[in-house]
Amino acid sequence: MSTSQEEKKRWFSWDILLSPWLVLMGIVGGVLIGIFNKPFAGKISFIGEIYMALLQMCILPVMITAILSSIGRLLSSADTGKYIGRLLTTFIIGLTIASLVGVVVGQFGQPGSNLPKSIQITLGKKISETEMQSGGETATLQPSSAGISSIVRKMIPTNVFAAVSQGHNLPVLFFSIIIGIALGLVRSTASFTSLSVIDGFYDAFLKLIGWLMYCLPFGLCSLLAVQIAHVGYEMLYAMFKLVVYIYISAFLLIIFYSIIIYVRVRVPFMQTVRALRETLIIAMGTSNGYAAIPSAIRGLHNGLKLDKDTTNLVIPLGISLNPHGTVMHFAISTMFMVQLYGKGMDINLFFVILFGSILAGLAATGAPGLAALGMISIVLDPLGLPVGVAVILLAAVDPIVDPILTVVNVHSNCASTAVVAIHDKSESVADYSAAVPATT
Amino acid sequence: MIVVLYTGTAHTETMPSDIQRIIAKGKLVVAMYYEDVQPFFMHSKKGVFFGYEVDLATSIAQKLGVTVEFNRTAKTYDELIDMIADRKADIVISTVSNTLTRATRVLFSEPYITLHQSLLINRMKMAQFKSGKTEIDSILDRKDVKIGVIDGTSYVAFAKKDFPNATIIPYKTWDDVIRDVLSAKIFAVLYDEIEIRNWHKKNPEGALYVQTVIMENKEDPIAFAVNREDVQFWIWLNLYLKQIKADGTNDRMINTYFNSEQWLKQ
Repeated sequence: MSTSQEEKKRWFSWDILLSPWLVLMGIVGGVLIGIFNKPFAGKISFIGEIYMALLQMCILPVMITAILSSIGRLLSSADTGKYIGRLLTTFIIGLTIASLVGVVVGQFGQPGSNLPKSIQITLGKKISETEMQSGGETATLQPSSAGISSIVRKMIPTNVFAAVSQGHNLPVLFFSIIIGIALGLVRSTASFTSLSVIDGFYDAFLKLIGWLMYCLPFGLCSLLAVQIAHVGYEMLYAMFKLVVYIYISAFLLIIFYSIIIYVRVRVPFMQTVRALRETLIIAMGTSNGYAAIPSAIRGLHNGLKLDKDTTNLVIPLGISLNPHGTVMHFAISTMFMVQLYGKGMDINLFFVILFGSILAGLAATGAPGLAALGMISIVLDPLGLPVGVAVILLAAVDPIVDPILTVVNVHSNCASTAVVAIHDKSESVADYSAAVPATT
Repeated sequence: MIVVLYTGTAHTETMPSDIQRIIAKGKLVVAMYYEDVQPFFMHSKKGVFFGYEVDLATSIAQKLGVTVEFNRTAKTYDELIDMIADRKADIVISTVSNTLTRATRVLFSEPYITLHQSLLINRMKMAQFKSGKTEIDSILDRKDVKIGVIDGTSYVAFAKKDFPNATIIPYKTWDDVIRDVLSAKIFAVLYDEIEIRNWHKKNPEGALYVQTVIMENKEDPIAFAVNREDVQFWIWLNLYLKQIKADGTNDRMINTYFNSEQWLKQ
């Protein structure tokens, strides 16, 4: 009978792997393994590593093709100056809000005040241990000169192929923007053909990402298991207050972004959640904002019907230059340090932390791993607080905190895209009323 | 007349007077600082007196064929040197540095262990001064920098030599100088790496507020001290040291007390 054949077909389809329940199982499974069976986490780590490698393989191609294909069209069509102005304003205001949330929650929560002696002992031991390992002096934890000029200098690739092959995202971003602008302005048959070819590759990579989503539950399980397994519970307990307040700030910001997206896109709230669910899960599972770029573009364009060119530009640009999560993290961590060392809070300090955190967050985006944490020196040095201690303590809880901060980084840019895109294509508002359910 | 000269089997040379004096006494009087200094000389949970320098003292006495007696009356390190000069003890084995000033009054053997001078630096003060990658030495060697040392130890001289431009402040006790560096009244404390390490073990939370810097190029050699007239004893001690270094005994002792935590079990 045909129904039994149909039933058979319905019972199993690869789409099961895309089900949110399976993803949730993967996450929970990973966390449990990380907590209760660390050796096993080590054994399955290769799954996560392969998955991350595949995701990362797609990041640069997607980023390059997305920006190249979109920026030319964007800048030739709309009112360029106003567009850029809107973009910059959104970024600056957004970063200030993120920093403000960090400072305010830090002030009300007082994570660094009145730490009991037992916690101070745990922290002190960890610091001694780490400094002893790096040779009695925290020479290795000093960040390289973090001036604005050096940041700009690092953004420009002398050898673009080297930058691509070494995965230096910021220089590649910069290069893509410049070349994209140039391509867009050439306006010859050849350049249009080039843009079509780039479009083709872009679509191809998005398809590839789509395939990878089938493996998401397994990849997540392994990745989370490894991350959780690396958390030292003693340090986690000692830094518990700070971790909790980081999570509180993160949730406040996520709610804020969800509201913004809902207001701007004017589709049912649950639909906005569904569209970005996959993106945020990837962000959380990989702790890598760049890995979530392809999914974010899909979610915002396919799911929320935001203008493709704007999405393709704002998302890669924003993940690099609009890191709300990192900024908030630096703000609240600085408050922690201020309280730990008993420095009084005043209006001057408030502004130094507010704007210093933004600069530090921007400086941190290009940097890998611990070097990014080292950028907190931009805020701490003017305040006369010891950077070495901050980096050691923050590094200890990084595996726990990084996932949610990455979610904030990615979600904030989804919201930024929503803000920038709608205003630009007012005639597209009509399209959103025919809301098509997002890919589940 | 037949005169038979009977030389017999007695040796005609006499034992050197300084070593003879100790053997005649039947005991070696070793001067040590009045407080325990881990892991050089200390008391176990059961009250047994032991440690690296206790082992050395006991071994020397044994090789001389006498018992060992510890004199713990000295309240400062300089007082230990006085005791030797006044012959109140035969030898000092008490984490004593072989400074030139002291060497004008006593004889120092070769060093049996070389410690490094170490700093405990107040972190907030360091954060205020440090911009970029300036070396510790140049940060501290400034007139407005206050460095604390313990009075009566070799570190008063070490500090003045290491940081000629800084203000060196002598303190009577370890607790006093620690209190001031924790509260940022002084920039740093200069002392030997072992004492600083010991303090960290007892006060792990201190690492939040002060940072340890071991100065690998600033040595603090520890040696025996004897009265300046006891030259033969001094030569004997150097031979003894040469032997225990050559056969690995000294290394073994150092490993036990400084590189492992085995002795803590006592």
